Amino acid sequence: MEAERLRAMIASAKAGQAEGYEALLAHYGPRLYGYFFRSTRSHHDAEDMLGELTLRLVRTLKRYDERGRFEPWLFRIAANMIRDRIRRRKANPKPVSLSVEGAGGDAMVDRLPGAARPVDAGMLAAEASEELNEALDKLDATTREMILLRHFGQMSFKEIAELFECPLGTALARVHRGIKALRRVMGGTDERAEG
Amino acid sequence: MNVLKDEGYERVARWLDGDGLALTAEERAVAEELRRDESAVGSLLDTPPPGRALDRARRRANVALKGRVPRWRVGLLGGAAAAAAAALVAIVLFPAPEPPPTRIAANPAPRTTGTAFLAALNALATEDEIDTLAGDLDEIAADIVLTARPELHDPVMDVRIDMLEREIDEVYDALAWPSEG
Repeated sequence: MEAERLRAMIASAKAGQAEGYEALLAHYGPRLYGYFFRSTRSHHDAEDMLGELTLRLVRTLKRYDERGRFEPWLFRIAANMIRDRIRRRKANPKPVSLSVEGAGGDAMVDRLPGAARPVDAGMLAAEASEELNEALDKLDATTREMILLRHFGQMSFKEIAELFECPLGTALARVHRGIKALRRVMGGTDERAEG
Repeated sequence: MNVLKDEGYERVARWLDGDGLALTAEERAVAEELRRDESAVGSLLDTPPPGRALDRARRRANVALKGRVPRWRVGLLGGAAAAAAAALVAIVLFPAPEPPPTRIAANPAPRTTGTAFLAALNALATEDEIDTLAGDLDEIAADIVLTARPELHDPVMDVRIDMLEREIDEVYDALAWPSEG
């Protein structure tokens, strides 16, 4: 997005105009949703967290300093929400309900024997999405978050290193190894390029 | 997979971030490999949000913007709505003592009390009342989330926040599909 347009959106939102927030949501909402979904593995939680982040945005946007890039600022809030959630879930593990949905939005109860349905394109896509979630689950939490923030937050390695308080080379090495592992699990590794 | 020493990874990171460095052949190979892999995995990661997720976020922004001046408008609601809102606040903030935990009854009670709340919600008469109630729920949620800072970590408050989140989810579900309530 052109810097000028982004500046106008932010200025409008800071002035308390709904149009400004709507423009920011239209632009960043899908990526934030994707980030929350891949972090929580739940459409329900992703929707909930997008709503929560919107509230935080309304309350904290005035603190955003225009000299810094907006995207890392925004995704840092999102990343902190994910960290809080992980911390809370660890402290209070939640029983899994049969109504918990899978990647395609289907409930676990639908996956019980006897609930079989005809295969369609949507199911195949949901299955691929679930496979990717499982592959992400196999990564350690920090590497997973780094990869997701690189993609959805379009963060530079410098910004990732600052957020995770690690050396620049470590941030790149983690992303490199993690993303390679993901490709391997997803069956997409280009063996010729492996050398 | 190409592997470098820490120094090499740092140089590749700076190069990918836009620094004009001259990379060695090994470093360039890692940079290209990473770009290729990020691009391949990135296309799989994208997940389009359902329309209602963005609608709900927009609505929350609008409510929060309006909520800057009037807060706790529950008092302006009609009888049923005020009762429902009061019930929710009471359920979440002042829950009844829980029985001793057992392996089976790990899930706390609010689901049941939430049912009573939803019954009251279903009696709401007008869309304005529902909007006002939804606005107050958002305010409550935002207040609790924003005041529950990590350094003030309290397991009891954590449980209550989780409960509040679930209750609000149920309300939103009921608002989205009132005929199913």
